[in-house]
Amino acid sequence: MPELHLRISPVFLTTFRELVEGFVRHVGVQLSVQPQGPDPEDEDMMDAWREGLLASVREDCGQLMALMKDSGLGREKVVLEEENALAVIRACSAVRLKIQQLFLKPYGEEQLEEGELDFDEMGPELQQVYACYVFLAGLQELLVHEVDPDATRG
Amino acid sequence: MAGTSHPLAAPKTQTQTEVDLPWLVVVLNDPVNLMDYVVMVFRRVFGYDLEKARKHMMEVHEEGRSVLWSGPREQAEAYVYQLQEWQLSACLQRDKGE
Repeated sequence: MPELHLRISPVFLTTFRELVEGFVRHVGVQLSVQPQGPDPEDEDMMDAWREGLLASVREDCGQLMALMKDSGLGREKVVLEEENALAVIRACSAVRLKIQQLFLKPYGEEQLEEGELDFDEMGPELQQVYACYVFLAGLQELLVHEVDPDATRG
Repeated sequence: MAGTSHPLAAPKTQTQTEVDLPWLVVVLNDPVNLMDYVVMVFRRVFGYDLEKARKHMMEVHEEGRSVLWSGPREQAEAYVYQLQEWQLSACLQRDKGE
């Protein structure tokens, strides 16, 4: 079963938890991905498609919040069921996409891909949000390595 | 062989060809999702081996899009839905048969 060994200050963790909680509310109302269904003119089909995706992402985000509220996170080893680890991995992407849409749009795609954002030039709010974005990337990376070590090799 | 030379036979054949054209599952690049994550998703959704999953991931990264799969519409729809559940930008396209 996937294991998570993460050392992080409780102060940072509390800040990230509060931020993630806010973004999760956004994600549960408006999808992070464009719901491109098979026939954009079929409204009933598109509604069902969108609602299905929303239900999935809400479940995934529920698992992420459960992990963020785990008293052991950041201090000791946390063991997850594989299905829950996969849900957390998906939720990390959903929240990171939402952060990018709400806060990081002014930065170019290449800049973002390469992680070339100047932390010192950001205001305090953006610094916190960007730190949370980076934290979720690290969390996702650790879990991807646990569930599919080959994908992270080389 | 008379049937194939009948004037109405040609359009019918063309329509049949259109019906037979496969649907494409296309993944588009985004600046957020991590490379290893995308490789993992391709492996899980399509069952691709590491080499094939990496090849498609690099194609998405460098060319902005990659055709991950082609085949019958119903299966293609199911793949697109799964990819969107994994937070990837995916869409369904009709193969133009070019």
